[in-house]
Amino acid sequence: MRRHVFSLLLACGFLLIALTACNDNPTGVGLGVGPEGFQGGTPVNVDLEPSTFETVSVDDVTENQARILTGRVDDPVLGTITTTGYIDVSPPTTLPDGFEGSTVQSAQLVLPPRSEQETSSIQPYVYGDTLSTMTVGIYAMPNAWEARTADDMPAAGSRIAESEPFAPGDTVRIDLPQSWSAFGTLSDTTGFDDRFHGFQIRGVSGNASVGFATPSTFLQVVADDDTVAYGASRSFTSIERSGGPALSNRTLLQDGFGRALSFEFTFPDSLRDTPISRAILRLPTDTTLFDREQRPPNFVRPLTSGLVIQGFTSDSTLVLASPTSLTSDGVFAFEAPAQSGASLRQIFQSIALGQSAVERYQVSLNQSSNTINPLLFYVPGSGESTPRVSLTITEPDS
Amino acid sequence: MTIKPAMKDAFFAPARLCLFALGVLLFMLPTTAFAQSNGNGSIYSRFGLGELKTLASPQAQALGGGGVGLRSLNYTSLSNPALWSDQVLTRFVLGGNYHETNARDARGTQSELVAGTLNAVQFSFPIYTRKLGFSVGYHPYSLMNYRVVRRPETPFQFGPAPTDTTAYTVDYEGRGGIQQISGGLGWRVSNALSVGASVDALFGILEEARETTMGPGFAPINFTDATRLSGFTGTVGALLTVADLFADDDALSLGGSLMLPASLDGRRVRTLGESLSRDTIGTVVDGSVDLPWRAQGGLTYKPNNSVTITADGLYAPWSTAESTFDGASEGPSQFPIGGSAFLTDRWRVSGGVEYLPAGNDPSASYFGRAAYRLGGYYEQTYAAPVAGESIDVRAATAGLSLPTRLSGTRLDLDVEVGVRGTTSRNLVRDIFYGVSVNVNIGERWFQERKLR
Repeated sequence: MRRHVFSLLLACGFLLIALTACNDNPTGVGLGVGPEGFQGGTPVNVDLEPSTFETVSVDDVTENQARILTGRVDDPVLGTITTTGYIDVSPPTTLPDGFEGSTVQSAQLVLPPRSEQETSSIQPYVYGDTLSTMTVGIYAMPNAWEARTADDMPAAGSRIAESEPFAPGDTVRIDLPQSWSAFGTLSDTTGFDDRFHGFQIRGVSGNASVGFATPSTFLQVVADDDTVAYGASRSFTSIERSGGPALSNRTLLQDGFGRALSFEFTFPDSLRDTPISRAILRLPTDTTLFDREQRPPNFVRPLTSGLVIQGFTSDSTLVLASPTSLTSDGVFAFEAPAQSGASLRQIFQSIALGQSAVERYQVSLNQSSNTINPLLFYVPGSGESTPRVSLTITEPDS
Repeated sequence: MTIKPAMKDAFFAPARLCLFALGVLLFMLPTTAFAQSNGNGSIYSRFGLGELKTLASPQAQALGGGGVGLRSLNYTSLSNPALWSDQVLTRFVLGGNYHETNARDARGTQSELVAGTLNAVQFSFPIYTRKLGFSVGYHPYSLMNYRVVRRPETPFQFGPAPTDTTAYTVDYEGRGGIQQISGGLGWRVSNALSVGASVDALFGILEEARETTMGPGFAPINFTDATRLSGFTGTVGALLTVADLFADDDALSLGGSLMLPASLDGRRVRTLGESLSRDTIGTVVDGSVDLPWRAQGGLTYKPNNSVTITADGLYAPWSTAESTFDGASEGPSQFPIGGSAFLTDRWRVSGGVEYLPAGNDPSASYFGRAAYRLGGYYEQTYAAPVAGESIDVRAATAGLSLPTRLSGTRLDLDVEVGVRGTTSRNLVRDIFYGVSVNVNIGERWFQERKLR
C-alpha cells in the first residue's frame, strides 16, 4: 500500500522535472503592450576623448644589451637623429699559454650587424639611406661608466681609429693602430676591466643609423701568434634628435628616447552605471611615415608595430590589454584582455560602476631590440583622427 | 518504555510519510523557482504583481476554479478556511502543471511559450474529526512570466566603416512571483455553520529583465529590476450548509471568504549582469505595495451523492492598490509597471458540475468510483494596459479524478483551455491550455488499529 503512495509521489516529481525542460519560442508579439510598450536595450556608441594627453619619461628598452646603434641620419619628417654606441669588452677567462703579457701584434674591433645565437636572433637594422656608404670612428672611453641615460655617459677620449667606408648592413672591421696608448697592454688581462673601459662608436659620415649585434661583437687580439676574442661585456646607445619641421597636431613616440604616451579620461556622470558591451581604445597615427612616396629614394624608416598599454591606480600598475598591432589605416586599437588581466571593456565597466581606480593610462613601445623606430600619434582635437575610446553602451533608462 | 507493535506502526507509518512528504516539498521548492523562470507566457503578467493565481483544490480547479462552498471529504480547499473543519483524513496534496500559451497580435504574428510549474503543496489533518481541522499550504499567489524579443531589422553600426555593423536582439523577460504560505484552522460550529481563519504569508521576488545581445566581440548586457516583497495578511471564511432542502439527501452549501488587505514591504534593486555575478547599480529603493481585500463567495448544490454543482464569484478592488516605490511618477521603471493607473478591479465568476457515478458506494467498479468534472470561468483580470479595455479570460475546465487502491487517495488530472485578451488596440490575445496532475493522499494518522 505504501509503495503505491511512493510511486504516485515519484511519478509526480518526475513529471514536474520533465515539464520544466520545455523550451520557449518567443517573438516580438506583445512589444507594444503596456505604458510605452517595451523600450530600451538599443546599443549606442559613445566616444570619449582623453582629458589629458602628453608624453612622459619612462625606463626605455634601449637599456637592453641586444644591439648598439651608431650613425647620423637626416629624416625629412623628424629632423636629425644621431645615435652613438658604447661597447666594452673583456678577455675570456681561459687564455692560451703564453698569451698573458706577450707582445700584441694586432687588434681589430669586429662589429657584425646580426646575431643568430640559439638564445636570440638579432637582425640587421638600418634607418636612413640604405645605399649611401658610411664610416664610423672609434673613441676610447677614459673612465668607467654605468649608464642608463645619455647624460650618465662620461665624455669620450681621443679618436683611436676610423672605419673604412661600408654599406649599411655590412659587418664592420676596424683595425686598431699600434699608436693607441692601450694597444700594447691588451694582452695584459690582469686588471684589464679596471684599466680598460671600452669604446665609443660614433658616425663620421653617411646618412643612416645602423645596428650592430652586441652578442656577436668582439675585439680580436693577436699576440704571441695566438688569436683571442674579447667579447662584449656591456653596451649602451645614446640617441639625440634635433631640428625637423614642427609636428603641429601630432606627438612623436620614438624608440630609444624613453618616452611614453600618458593620458587620462574624465568619465562623464551621464555614463555612470551604464552597461558597456565593448570598449576599444583607438590611437590613430600619421600614415605619412609609412608612405613610400613621402620618403627620399632608398630611405628606410622602420616602424614600430607593437604597443603595450598599462593602467595606473594610486598604488599599482596593471597591464590592461594585450599588445596590439598597427592596422593598415594607421590605427592602434586596444581591446582584448591581457593574459592575466581584464579587457578594456571590463576596466571601463568598473569605472562606470564606480569600482575601478584606474587613474591614468600609459602606452609605450613594445620593442625587443634597440631601435629608433618612430610613430607620430595624433593628439586630441584632431578631428576624425583624435585618440579616443569608443564605448558601445546600452542606456539603462532608454 | 516499550511501544506496542500496533502503536508503533500507527505512529511511524505517518511519520515516514510526513518525512517523505517534507523531503518532496523541499525538493520541489527550488524546482518551482526554476520552472517559473521559463515563463508561462502571458504578456499581461507584466502588470501588477504578475498573473494572479486562483488555486483551491484539484477538484475545484476542474470545476472552474472557485470551490468556496465546495464541501468534500477528499479535498481540502485553499479558497475558504471554513472548509478545513470537514476533515476526516490526514491529507497531503502535491500538484504540478504544464502550461502552453500561444500569443497572437493583430498582424497574426505568433509567439509560443511553455512551462511547467508547481501548483501547490498542502498538508492538513483533523484535530477533531469533522469538527476542527488544521491546514498549511504553499502555492503561488502570482506569477510574472512573460518573454518578448525585439529583433530590429536595422543592424547596429558600431564603427565608421560600412561593414562595421552587427545584428542585435533585445530580450525582455519577466519572471518570479509572489508565493503564499497559509496556515489556519476550520471549526464546525454546528451542523449548519462552519467558520475558519488563516494567517497568510506573502513573499517573493519579481524580476523584470532585459538582455541586449550583439555579435561576436560584444558582451551581452543584462539588466534586471528585482523587487523583493514580503508581508502578512489573513483570511476569514464561513460556510453555511442546509441539508434536505429540495429532496432527501440533497444539500446546499453557501460559502464565503475574505482575504484582508495587505501591505507588502520590499526593496527594488537594479542589477547588471547575470546570476551570481550581478552588480547593483543605481539607488536601492525601499517601498511598499498595498494590496486590496479579496472577497469570494460560492454556492454548491448536491442533489444526490453522485452530482455536485458549483457556482462561485470573486471580487478584488485592485484599482485601489497603491505603491510607494520610487519612479512612482512615470516611466517604465515604475513598479508596478505604470502604477495603479494600469490596474483595474478584478472579478471572476465560475461554475462546474461533477459526476461521480458510484456515489458513496466503495464496491462499485473502478470507473464508477472515478469522478468526471466539467467547468468554466470568466474573469476580468486586474491588468489594464489600455484605458477602457479590460483584459478578460474565458476558459473551460475539465477533470478526471481517479481512485487508487488506497482509500482516500486520488490522482486528479485537470485540463484547462482558454482565451485571454484581445488583438485590438495593439494588444495581444493568448490562447492557452494547461494540463495538471495532482496527487491527493489521505490516510488515517494517530489512530491505533483495532484489528491486526
